[in-house]
Amino acid sequence: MMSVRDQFVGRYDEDVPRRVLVVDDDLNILRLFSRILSRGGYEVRTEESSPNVIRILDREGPFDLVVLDLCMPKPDGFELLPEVRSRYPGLRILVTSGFFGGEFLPASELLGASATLRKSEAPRLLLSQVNQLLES
Amino acid sequence: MGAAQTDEKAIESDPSVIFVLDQDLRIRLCNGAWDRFALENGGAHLLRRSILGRPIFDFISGNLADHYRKVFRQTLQRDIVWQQDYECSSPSVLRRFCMHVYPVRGELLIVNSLLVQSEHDREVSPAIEAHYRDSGGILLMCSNCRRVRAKGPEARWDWVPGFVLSPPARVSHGLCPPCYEYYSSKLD
Repeated sequence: MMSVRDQFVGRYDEDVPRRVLVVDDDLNILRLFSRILSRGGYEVRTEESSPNVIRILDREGPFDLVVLDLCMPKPDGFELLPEVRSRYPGLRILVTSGFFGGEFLPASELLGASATLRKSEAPRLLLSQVNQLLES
Repeated sequence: MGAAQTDEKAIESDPSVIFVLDQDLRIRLCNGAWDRFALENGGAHLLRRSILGRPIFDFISGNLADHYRKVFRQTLQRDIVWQQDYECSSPSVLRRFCMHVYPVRGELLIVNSLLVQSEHDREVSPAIEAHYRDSGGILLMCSNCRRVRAKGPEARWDWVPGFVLSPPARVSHGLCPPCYEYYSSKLD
């Protein structure tokens, strides 16, 4: 399967905002991440219900990057990550987690995360990390 | 403490965390206890050499900023002493303080006296745990301040030391309203 980036490489010009899907079960996280990324020039779609993620990727894509929370009601990030990765091999996936999920972040990279970010650092680092991932 | 006691040497050696705001609410003076408290609580970037001359509201935002603007303005205008008790705990130590705000010759002298300091209760009983888990058994913790959301219509957020000291199972991290407001205000 071609990667999303490969399929839509023609989209990457200055005038077309890149699309980011943010998945988290907390509305304030979604609102904050959405504001941060929108200010960074991204088109942001947020989703708080993890069972909807695959459908959104399939029907509303392409997305250039997914910000995915690890600890959510089922299916959680651990369950979604391998499925998203197998369906969209080229999609950048930034996995986020809180204090007590932090120790799971290295494992999420084994499951297919492109990068990881602790939520406590996200207000400061989210935009730069997304920029970095989409430039790589 | 009155105007006659605002001698800077006395302030410097006082064990309470004391600072002085000028009439523009900039930090004009902090005492030695300020630096000690900052260092003991991971605030090395808040040592007085870094903050003197800066507006106090560079360090207070959201609801708290609204509250303190009102307090400082009224204290100056009415020339009365204002006081409140508050909690400023670390993960391992419970601390309660009493804050006095004194108007002194057009400035504000702010004294934070320690009332209580003790170890937190580290045990989280099943009854307490049940009070915070939702119907799906998930505990929602603020990823910034680590308070947890209580069940109930008022959606109160509480500091529960036992949840901070040892990782609870099935925890989801979000942002409580004041922390959301804090970070959101940085984007305005």
